[in-house]
Amino acid sequence: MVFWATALPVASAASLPRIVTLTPGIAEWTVEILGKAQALKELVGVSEYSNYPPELKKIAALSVVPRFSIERIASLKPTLIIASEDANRPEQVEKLRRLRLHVEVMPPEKFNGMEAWVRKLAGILNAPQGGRIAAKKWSDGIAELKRQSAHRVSEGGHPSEQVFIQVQGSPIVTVGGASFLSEALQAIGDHNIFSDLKEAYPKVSREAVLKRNPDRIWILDAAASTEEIRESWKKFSGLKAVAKDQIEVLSADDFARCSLRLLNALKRLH
Amino acid sequence: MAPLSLRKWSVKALPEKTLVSETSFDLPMGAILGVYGPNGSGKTSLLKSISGMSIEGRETSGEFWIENATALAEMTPLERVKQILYLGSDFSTPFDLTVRELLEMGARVGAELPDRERIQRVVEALHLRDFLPRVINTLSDGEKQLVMFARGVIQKPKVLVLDESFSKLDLDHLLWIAKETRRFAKEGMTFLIASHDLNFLSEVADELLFMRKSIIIAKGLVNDLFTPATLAELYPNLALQVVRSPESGKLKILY
Amino acid sequence: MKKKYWLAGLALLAAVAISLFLRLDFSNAALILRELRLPRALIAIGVGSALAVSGAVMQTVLSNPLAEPYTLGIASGAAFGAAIATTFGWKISFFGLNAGAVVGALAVLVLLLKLVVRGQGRQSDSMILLGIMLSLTCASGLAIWMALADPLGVQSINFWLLGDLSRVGLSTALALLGLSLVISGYFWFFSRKLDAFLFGEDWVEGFGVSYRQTQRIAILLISILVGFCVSAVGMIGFVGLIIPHLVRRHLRTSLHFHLIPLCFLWGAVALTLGDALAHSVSEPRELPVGALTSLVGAPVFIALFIRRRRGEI
Repeated sequence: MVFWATALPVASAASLPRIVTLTPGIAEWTVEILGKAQALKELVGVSEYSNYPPELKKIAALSVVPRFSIERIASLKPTLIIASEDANRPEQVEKLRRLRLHVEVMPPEKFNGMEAWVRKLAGILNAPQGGRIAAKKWSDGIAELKRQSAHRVSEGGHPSEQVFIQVQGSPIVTVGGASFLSEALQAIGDHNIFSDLKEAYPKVSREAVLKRNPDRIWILDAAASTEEIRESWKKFSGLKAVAKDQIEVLSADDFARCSLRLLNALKRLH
Repeated sequence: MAPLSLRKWSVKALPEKTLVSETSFDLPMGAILGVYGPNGSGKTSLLKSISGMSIEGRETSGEFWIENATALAEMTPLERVKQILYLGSDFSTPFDLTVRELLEMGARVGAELPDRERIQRVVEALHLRDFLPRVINTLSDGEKQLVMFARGVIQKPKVLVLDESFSKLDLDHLLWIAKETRRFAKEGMTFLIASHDLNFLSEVADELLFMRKSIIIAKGLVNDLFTPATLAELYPNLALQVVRSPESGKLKILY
Repeated sequence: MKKKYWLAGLALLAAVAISLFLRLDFSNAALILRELRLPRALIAIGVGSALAVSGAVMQTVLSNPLAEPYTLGIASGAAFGAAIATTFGWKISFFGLNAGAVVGALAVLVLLLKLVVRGQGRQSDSMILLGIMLSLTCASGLAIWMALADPLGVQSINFWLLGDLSRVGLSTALALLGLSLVISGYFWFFSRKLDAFLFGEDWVEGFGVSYRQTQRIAILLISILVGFCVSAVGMIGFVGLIIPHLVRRHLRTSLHFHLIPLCFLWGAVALTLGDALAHSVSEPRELPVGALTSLVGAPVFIALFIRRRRGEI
């Protein structure tokens, strides 16, 4: 092992890398890129809610929400820390760097253009082959989705639907146009009614939702009391989503990360 | 009419300090009693205690009657204030209130509707008509004291206690207010007036009370107290002369 | 005087009309009106009136024209109390209003009174200072509590700190409006007793009013009003300060007989209008109305404070 002045380890050809991931999405893709066996060996720390594959739960969980413990991370003696530009705070990342830890920052996930993102992650992980395979899985998945939605339209089935995604009950929080969920909706031929809002998680008024009258409402189950939320919409019989009984509770696990799970979940939707 | 009476009245500041030594005296209703003494002699403690104002850490003992009504501290504030009202030397309010409003507040105490006639009479007597719409905070100290006095008279307690309430009035007002006070007393109101101004007290009071270091050293008619012997008890270190005022004919102190 | 009531009444009607109909989507009107706009207008009337009357009475009873539930920390205490009560599941609630908030409000008010040094001329300034400190303490306590007990932010701290009229249902709104009417009515009935406080605590008994008893009742009722308001809509500041101040100037008196009902009306107008504006300006987003009242109110507070120091008030 080669040691730096501060006695922090650096992976050499002879020893295993020790990787820490700071978002669940990054963890999932890391497993995808490296393959489960290798990933489980090399990952020493993952952020809270990194629960797929389930084996990840056994790896030291770092409480990342709302801010992670820097000392905890350092104590794991990682050789590589992968953070996210929008999900992790820059000051925290800076602090890690000051401890002479090696931090790589991934840009935000974009649903359209995930391939490039995945390949970048693979580059950081030193696994270009794995990256190519994972990126291809993504492209294939997207293609499949698009085929599915085109098929549906040609079958005379549902045309493009207006969807309202609710992330929280009170206040009402939805996703804005820049979020990958918004783009994901587009990929399956539907439309996020609040895609015109720039921020990632805008708080909107109930009236605004009523005004935009979505055909469907998705309630992510990370919001507490999803049944109450569903009830809170039911009384508005004028809402298309209520009239057509199209209020669904979706698993946050599947929909809150821009990963292959999301693609699978989207396929299952219609 | 039954008098105002104290029997073995004393005031102590806990734990051991005596503010007013045990005293007993009577005062006929409708009289004006001047209370005089140097600073710290216990005038305010005496006056506040008989007004039923309980103060933290002060203990009173003895009995006090106003026309057979006693146990003032146990009355409701409304009952008490109809018997005896204590006014100090100044007042203030952070709010914009007019003189008229203050006088009406006084007139409404214990009555559903303010007695407008009484307000009118007192305002006329004290030449306060032009002051009625004025905001109290804009008045000078002397004007405020006049207004406060008016309020006290309008409110019509049986006994009105004025503790240095004329301290800011200038000389011509003092003489005049002494006359007005005597007029109101003739209508039946009893006054207890504490003042730093012995000569003013000789003008306004029927009887005087001299206090020194918590002890009442003398009580009696003005003429009886304005004697070299009594004055020497009050101020052993001063050479004081008694003369008659050229303006009013009352006895005055010269120093 | 009658004209003043007419003016206030008309203003209230106008404010309610604006709140109900401004930018209303007519395709869905009946439903939106009944389910969304009506409760919102009702709660704005209830809270606005309650805060204005509470502010007026507080200013009198504490002899401090700058007193109001927000700056003296009572609203923060209420929020803190409500958060604690919710976490422990102490749901002593009443139409969805949390009694923990009342306890919190009362605690701060009592503490404030105990800490203020009585009988000193500058007491009103030190009271404000103390109140602001208490307010910060409770707000910090609230933040810590939320971080520990409610990390997902279900009842987010923004709700407490910035206020939000959109979360109450019709029954809660009506309950609060009723409460505001009853308690304001009570204060109005005893306006003469309140008048006695206008010259400071030393003069209260001189007007035949029991100082202790009246103050205690006033404090209890204010805590109930403010507590329930905060538990329903979070902290909304400065309505309790500015409305009484403006109404006193408008009436040219500080006596309570007309002050209280007019504060009731104008407080309702202010919050209804303010909320309608906040709502329409930020469409489709939800702008917290407390942020708006603070934005407008804080500079006014500062101006009042400075003028008082200069002895102009």
